[in-house]
Amino acid sequence: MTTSRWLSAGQLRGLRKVGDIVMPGNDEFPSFSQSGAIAHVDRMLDYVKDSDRDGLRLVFGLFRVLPGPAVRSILALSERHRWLPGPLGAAARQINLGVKGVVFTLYYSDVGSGRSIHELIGYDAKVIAPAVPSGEV
Amino acid sequence: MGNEAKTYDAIIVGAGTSGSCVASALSAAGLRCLILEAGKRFARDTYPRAELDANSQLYWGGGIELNTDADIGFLRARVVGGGSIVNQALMDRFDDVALDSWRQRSGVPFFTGEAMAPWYDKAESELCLQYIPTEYRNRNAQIFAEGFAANGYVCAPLRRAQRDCRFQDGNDCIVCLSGCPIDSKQSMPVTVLRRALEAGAELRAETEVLQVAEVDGGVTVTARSAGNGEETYRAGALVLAGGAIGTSSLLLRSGFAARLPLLGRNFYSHPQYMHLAVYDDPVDAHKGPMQSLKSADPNFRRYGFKLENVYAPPVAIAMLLPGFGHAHLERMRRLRQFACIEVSVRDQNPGQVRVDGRGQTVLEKQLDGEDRARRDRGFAAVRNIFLATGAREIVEGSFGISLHLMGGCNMGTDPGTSVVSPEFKLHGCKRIYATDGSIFPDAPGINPALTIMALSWRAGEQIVKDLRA
Repeated sequence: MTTSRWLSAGQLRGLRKVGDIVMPGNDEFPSFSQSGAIAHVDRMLDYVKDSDRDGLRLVFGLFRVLPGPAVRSILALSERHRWLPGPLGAAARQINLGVKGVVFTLYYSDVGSGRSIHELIGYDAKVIAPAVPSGEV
Repeated sequence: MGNEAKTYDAIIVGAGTSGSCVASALSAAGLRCLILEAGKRFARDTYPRAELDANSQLYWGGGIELNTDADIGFLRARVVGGGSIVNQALMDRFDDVALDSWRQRSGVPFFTGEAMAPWYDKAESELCLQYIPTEYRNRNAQIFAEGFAANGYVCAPLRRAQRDCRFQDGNDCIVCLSGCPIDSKQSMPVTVLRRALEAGAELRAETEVLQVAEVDGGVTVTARSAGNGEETYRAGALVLAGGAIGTSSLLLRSGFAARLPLLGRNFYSHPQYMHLAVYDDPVDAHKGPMQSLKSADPNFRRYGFKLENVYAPPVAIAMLLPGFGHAHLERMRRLRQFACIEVSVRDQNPGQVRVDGRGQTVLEKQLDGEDRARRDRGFAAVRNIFLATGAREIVEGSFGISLHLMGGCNMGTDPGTSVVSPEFKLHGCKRIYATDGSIFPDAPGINPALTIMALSWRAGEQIVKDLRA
């Protein structure tokens, strides 16, 4: 069972719910929750600004109690941020960037369990480093 | 709070490009320097490799900071070495267009190619500079070149600070966006900063400066360290090299706004828009040298934008693609088929760095009509390039990403229109200097790293003279 220093059990459920909407998976790709990446959420939340973390906790807490179609509708509305005026558009962008930022960062960083996401999308960047550890600085 | 006062000839805030150069100049002259850096200190075998960890640990804000409209994201390095750790080490001198604009705006006479040349020479002598050999250009670069040729545009090779990327081994430079694992990239920790430390400079990483002040006979700096809580340091001089946002917000938090009314204003950032195109065959834009070509078209320069061939790791690409769910995943499945070109806008509408009532940094930055026109002309050129080279689909970038953070403490001869004097001192201060990108008078439209180095070497010589006077 995943635990977090920053998210309550309910907020984690909200993240898992919206994560599976953002990244539903298919026969080839695991869904967000199947990827197991949520176990690493604190690796990013440890470094997020307090105000941003508070915002994410609020959103994930809300998503936990909303039905799936309502969460999907909010996300879909946030995608239309360019057509929303002033502060509404800014708020939509913040929700969109915040939610997708957490989900995509966890999923596409390839830190979960199971089959490598990088392998599935064909991302194989590498630098062959010397075996000798560095001693500079 | 610890009260032990430690005294140095100079304290330098920030261990990035500027701070490293100033520290090197001062240490070589025998001055005792303390460098304070908020970020961590890594080496080639300890840089975070997962994109999640790199974004979190190498940047302020856990990866990205947003403007108040949330349509531009700022990437601000928080690590020993600063931007030189996370950039692609592109090193260009400024042209007459940029320097003439600076001279006219600031009244500073040394903003000419001739006067800057010795400082550019010095900066270049500290690095190994190379062009990417043609045979190692990847398919993304080839599309760039073919598209330019088909449209009659002019492009040119990019000059990088690199020593031995060993492309023959199949190395991929995109990895080095989170620190080069083989120290080929000529970042500050393996070049200038290393020499500063060898000459006696002291470095404290994970130490965030909270307040600075000029006092009788010197300066005080209050900083918070990961393990030691708050400490106060004393020195004969203070050099601010924390970058445009860091330097401006530190001075604002320290109460300098009253005497420097333009503090935080005239903030520029070269907003960049990455455009993706899908091709039938794999492009593999992440392979080999990630960047090797730039636009060199005089019309583009006149219109206020430039293009570069570029790419980004999967999380960043996922964030650039619109939508979510199955449609988004289908696009990500074609990651290898994406070509990518970036439009970088020479922004002319300045923003502002502010600090709110809780001491949090606020970034106000918008594109005005002229900036949007520059961006859209860039979009049109990218479309022409992609369409001329067989792209099946084009995904236009709608989110600005800013990595070149400049201004906020602009240099000028007139205290009424600037913050920093041509001697690199804050107007009205005797012992506080600013040497980083915060002193830029406007956006040059050219990668700023080499010019930050050149100006920092010049500032270092000035500070040595002042401290010895």
